[in-house]
Amino acid sequence: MNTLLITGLSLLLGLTGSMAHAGLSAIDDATMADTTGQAASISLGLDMRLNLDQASNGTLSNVCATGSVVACNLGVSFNNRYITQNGQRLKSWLVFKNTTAAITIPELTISGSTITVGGQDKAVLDIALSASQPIIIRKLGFDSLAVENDTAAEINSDGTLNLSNTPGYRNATLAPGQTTFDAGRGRGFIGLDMTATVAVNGNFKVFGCSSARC
Amino acid sequence: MNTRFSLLATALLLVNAASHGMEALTDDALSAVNGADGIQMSVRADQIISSTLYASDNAGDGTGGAANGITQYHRVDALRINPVTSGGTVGADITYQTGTISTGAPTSRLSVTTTPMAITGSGLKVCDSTTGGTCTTLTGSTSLSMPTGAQLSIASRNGILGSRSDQAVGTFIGIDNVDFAVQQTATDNTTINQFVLGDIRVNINSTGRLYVTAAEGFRFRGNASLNSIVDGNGYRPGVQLALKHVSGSNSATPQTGYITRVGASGSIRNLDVTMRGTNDTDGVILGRTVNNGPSIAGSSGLALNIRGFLGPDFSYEIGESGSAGRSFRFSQLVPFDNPTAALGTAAFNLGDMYLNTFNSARLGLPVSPELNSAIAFNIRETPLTDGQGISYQTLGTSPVTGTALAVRGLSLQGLPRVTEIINNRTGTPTRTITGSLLTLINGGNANLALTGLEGRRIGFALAASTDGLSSNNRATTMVGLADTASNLYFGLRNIDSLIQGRGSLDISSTGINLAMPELLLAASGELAAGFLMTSATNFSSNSNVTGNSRGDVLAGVRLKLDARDVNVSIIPSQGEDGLAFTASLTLPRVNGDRLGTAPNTGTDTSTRFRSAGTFVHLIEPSDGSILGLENISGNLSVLGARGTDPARIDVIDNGLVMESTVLINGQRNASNARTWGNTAGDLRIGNVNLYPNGNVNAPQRLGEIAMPGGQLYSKVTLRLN
Repeated sequence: MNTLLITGLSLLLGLTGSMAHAGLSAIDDATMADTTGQAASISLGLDMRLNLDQASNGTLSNVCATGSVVACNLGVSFNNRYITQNGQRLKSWLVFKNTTAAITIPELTISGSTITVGGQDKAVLDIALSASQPIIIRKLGFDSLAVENDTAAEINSDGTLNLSNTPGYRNATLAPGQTTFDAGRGRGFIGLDMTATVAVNGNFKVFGCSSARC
Repeated sequence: MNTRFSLLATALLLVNAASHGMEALTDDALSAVNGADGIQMSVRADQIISSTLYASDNAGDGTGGAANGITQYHRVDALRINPVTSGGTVGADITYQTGTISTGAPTSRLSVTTTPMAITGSGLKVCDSTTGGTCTTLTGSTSLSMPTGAQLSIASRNGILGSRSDQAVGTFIGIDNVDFAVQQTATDNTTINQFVLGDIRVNINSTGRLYVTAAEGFRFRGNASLNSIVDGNGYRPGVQLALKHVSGSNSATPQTGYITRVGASGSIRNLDVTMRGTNDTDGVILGRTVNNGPSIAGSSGLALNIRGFLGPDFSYEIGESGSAGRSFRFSQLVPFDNPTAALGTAAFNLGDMYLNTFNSARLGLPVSPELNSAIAFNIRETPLTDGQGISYQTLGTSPVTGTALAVRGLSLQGLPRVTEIINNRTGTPTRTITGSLLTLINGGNANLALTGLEGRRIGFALAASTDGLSSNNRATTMVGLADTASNLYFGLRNIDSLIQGRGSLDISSTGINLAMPELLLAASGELAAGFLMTSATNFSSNSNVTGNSRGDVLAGVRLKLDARDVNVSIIPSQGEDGLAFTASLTLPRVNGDRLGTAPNTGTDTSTRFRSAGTFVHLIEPSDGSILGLENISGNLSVLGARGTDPARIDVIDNGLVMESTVLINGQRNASNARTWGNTAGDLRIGNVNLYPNGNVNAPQRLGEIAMPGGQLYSKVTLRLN
């Protein structure tokens, strides 16, 4: 399935400086008079927050205040991972407890342009980022990562959900030791909290390919 | 007389631009008209009372009997036409003049100008009799307010009706600021809330020929001009319609809220308008009440078709309503399949529009076979359509009486070369780009049915579908972005789609609330980027088709959203805040998933695949491999940034702002406190499946993903540069 990643969505990272001035020609008055607006490009500003509230002064606070509130968990169960208990197979989950993320992308400019691939002009979707408008990442991560199991068989004999089962991703067991740094957080073996400012100067050129190497 | 004949000249002036080889009428020729003053008639009354207005229609019998169908009547009772000012009168001035022009051809002119008036009536009904009888009431009381009166004139040469080349008619229709309102009295029995199709303006000159034939019905062919205006009341396009909400009572000043607005201005060439009756005993329009049963539309009904070519100065607008709002305006339209063609050559067809009463437990809508096979991708999926390509929407367990407006074959393939954001008050642009936010429709079909009041709420059923790529590969349904300076596009193209929802509409004091027990959305398309079409290329992805643009495709996308208990509240804005809404829905879980985890005793354990329920598929274009997110279930709601704030879509001077929070399996109160639901409402992607090489019979299950709650806030600011 490498093809899905490589040929389906081919990404080229070009350098703005070296490509922007290629092949330009002078525009005469007549051409200018014909122009009613600038060439179409749109810029996207994105502000996304997962499980975080933002106060008017910009302070972020977690939607799920303690590890006993499981609503902000994210569970991933890989196929055929389970434990056997009392003759029943209980599903195992990799649980990211109290996941949060705040990502601000002030400006992402989307336009069309062309590149030459195999001697042919290809139309590409040009996604540009500017270092002067850095991407801001705050509180990206989770309190703890744990493997948790269901408490009962997940489905009843008729295929409906067994509501007396507490799924592993809803496990509310807190980390032991109330005075340690992870007091009040869900139990687990690792946590992540990332804050970063990412300045990217460049253009992603996205195009489709009908063959493996265009 | 000079004034009157200059009006006639205005009405007939556009003959110059007509393309049917008619003889031009010049001002000089018209000034030489010989004739008398004609007949003038002025009618006035304090009030006009008409007990009932009705139109008869035959419909198929929902029980499957009565082969000849049943006769029903669209009806409005208690009709009253009142003056808009106390003590005033209502009426019309009618003038009829005849004469000749210099060529000797006889001319005539009929003009009608009404006084301002306010018309009130009962709710819309479908009845089994012209008076009394058994009725299904479809809406609350209705009203039409016309604060400036209406104007209508028809000038003709060599007779009003006729298709000969020496015959011509010039017409003018003018109405402004007309509001059509449907009322709902609140439970306090004092507050009256109204859903208003308002700010209606129609100002159209046309010239051409008007005729009647047995096969074509009543038909007009010619050219038309939709005249915009900027006056003391601000800017209005030639044709305008806005959605508004009004809440108030006799003791309180009504508060008007704005929802959205559409408009169009400029010329239309080769306009072709056909109005005729229908006889759909074959069940082509709305299908059959039961399999092999009578036609739902029956043996009579009304059909309208409007088509033509968009003139060089044509533009259309969509955006916020209210003078404080902003709108997008699209102009300089060229044919999408030939972007370098001259202006004025882009065709449009609003499709065949049918109005029919019905008596049926279901309504049919054509759905493309491509969508049907994309959604029913394995044998566990229920096909969308019957064997004849019709998707039936269930209205109830027994036949329901109502009325349906159906559109079949809508085609909008105009590519706007210029997009502007305009100020609604002045009509002047605050941003202009050479390109467009594209919305193309090929093979658009829709049903809007009113199914009777449910208490105070209006029962409705809505369905719409599109065809992706046309059979000649040159017309498509698409949303995306086009750069017409470089002839590039990006977007979701070749969209086959279906949306079906039924439920009830409540006009409350805060807005319009839709409650839909079921909502189905199914779509299949291609995410693509490339060059716009030329005469040598097309939008086919089939490698066997000459000129295909398969290489443009980044990924195929197909999805089905099968939602229950959908509630949408549309909250009108009081100023320039744009459209606000809240929504909540439940995605039911499909039994029999959780593959690979014992005891795995679902109803279907014998095969490697299950019904996908609500799903999204991403399809790799070169070998067809599919990444599937299937059996998506849970409770979701859409709110604004904090508390009970609604989500917003706001048009600003240079773009669009969308702000929303998706709340997973939870609720949030006004003080921003959340309560979370139990396991049954968790958001779960029950199966993450990989289908190598697109083999839908051999899914490789990767696992599943679950979120017991949480919220995702997003604010997207889209600017036109």
